[in-house]
Amino acid sequence: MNRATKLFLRASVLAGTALIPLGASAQRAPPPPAQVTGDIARRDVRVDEGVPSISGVWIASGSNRSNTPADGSSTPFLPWAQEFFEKRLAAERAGSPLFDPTANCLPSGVPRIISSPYPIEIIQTPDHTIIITETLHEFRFIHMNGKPKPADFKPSYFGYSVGHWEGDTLVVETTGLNGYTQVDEEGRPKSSDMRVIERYQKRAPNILDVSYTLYDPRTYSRPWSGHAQFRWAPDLRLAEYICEENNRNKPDASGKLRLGVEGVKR
Amino acid sequence: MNHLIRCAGGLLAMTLALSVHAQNSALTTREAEIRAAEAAAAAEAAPKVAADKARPRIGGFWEPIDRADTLRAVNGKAIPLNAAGKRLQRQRQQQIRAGKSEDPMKVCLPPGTPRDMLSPGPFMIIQTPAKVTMLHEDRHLIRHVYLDGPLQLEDPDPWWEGHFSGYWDGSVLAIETAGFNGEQWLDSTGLPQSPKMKVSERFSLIDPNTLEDVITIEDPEFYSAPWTARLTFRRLPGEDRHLVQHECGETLLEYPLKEYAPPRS
Repeated sequence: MNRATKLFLRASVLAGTALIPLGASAQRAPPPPAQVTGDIARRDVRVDEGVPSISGVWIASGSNRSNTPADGSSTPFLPWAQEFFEKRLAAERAGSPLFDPTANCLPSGVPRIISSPYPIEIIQTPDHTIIITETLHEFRFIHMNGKPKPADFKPSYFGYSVGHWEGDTLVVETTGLNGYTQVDEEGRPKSSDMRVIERYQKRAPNILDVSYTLYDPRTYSRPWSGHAQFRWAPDLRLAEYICEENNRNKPDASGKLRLGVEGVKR
Repeated sequence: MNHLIRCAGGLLAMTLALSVHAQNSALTTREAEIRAAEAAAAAEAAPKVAADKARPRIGGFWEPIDRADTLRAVNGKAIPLNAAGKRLQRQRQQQIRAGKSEDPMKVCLPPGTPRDMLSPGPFMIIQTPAKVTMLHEDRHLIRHVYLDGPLQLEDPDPWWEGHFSGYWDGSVLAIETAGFNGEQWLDSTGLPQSPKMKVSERFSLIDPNTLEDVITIEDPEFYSAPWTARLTFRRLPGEDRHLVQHECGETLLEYPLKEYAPPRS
């Protein structure tokens, strides 16, 4: 992705996200369809036929520029988090943005990955629901058989997710996250104590709603919920995504980005 | 260019989503239409689903048996590099010896095909009726192999990993790959590739717990004849395993990452 494309994308997501949460909070979903079949050819054939299918390629309606409470309330920052957020915004406005791991091709992590503005693919197997994102070619494993997080699990970008179906809704709980990433691009932070509950539900055969609730008492004064929506894109295929071709923006010791410096070849 | 189209698609998707929010009744009236389309898609998928039930199950978790990071010709002979190929490999090996390796893997660029199959860690194969997906723990490499039949490419974007197409040839999963950018090395010895390279792989089960990948490389730019290598993998027990992504990017940071939040009080 070249710089012009990135800027174009940035502009377009800014334009889009200002409006999406308003739309999401302005009305409630209609009653869910009784039966969903989805794209059965993208599921492992051994998946129990009673399991609703959300397999297939989906594309987000919004982006992860700004993940905010879907009820329209303000983000319940604790003081350090408020300061962190405002410092980042001010630095960005001043034209000297602070370090963001995704600028070094590192994962955006949970929950920021949820509303990645590129296509995602969901594949259901008997033991997992796997979410693959085109962005940074990431994948998430959601364990569907109740296998608990190992005691020695090392905190990671995507943590450890377990899921189960409640009727037609896939409920996913994620813990074991590292604290290296943000909730969104704007800079809402998180700690390694964050626990995330996601709820995936098809509101129509071609529309997937995702609401997520963030529990992080080290960062926010109360749990809060965001919302993302996806449109089924059966004709779309995930493309190669090579961040490393433009991996030039390295942070200095203070965390400030040194734009366009030497460093990594290419 | 692909990404520009994708961006434009994103804008269109946002516009559509907004209009869905604005006119929810339009969505409801279209629901019957969408359901009919979905039922048609499921009916179309049915023969593929049935066919997949009869196929060998290569799905599951695997790891390489001999953790080689080099390719060798399966016939035991020297790899048939031509003069240009020999010259380029020699130059790369001189750079390695001088501590100035320009191996694209060192800066976390994708290993491409077939070098991703030399990844050291475990990987998962997801076998579905229309697609085989490979997820590697190492560098979270992903291969999306749609089972479209023999590869047909018209003016592809040159990709590091190439463009794949797969099909079942009896009990063998055949994957053909071409459309490379030609910049990656085939292995750590600096075996070259060009944008003309075509890679044909045949995956089959030697026994239920042993998978082989027979890889044939054709690249007239650097090789005087097609040549074949073979890799084998051992099945890891259990299908409910977890893969932790390995982040190559962390190795390039001059300053270690730290948690943003202050320590727990």
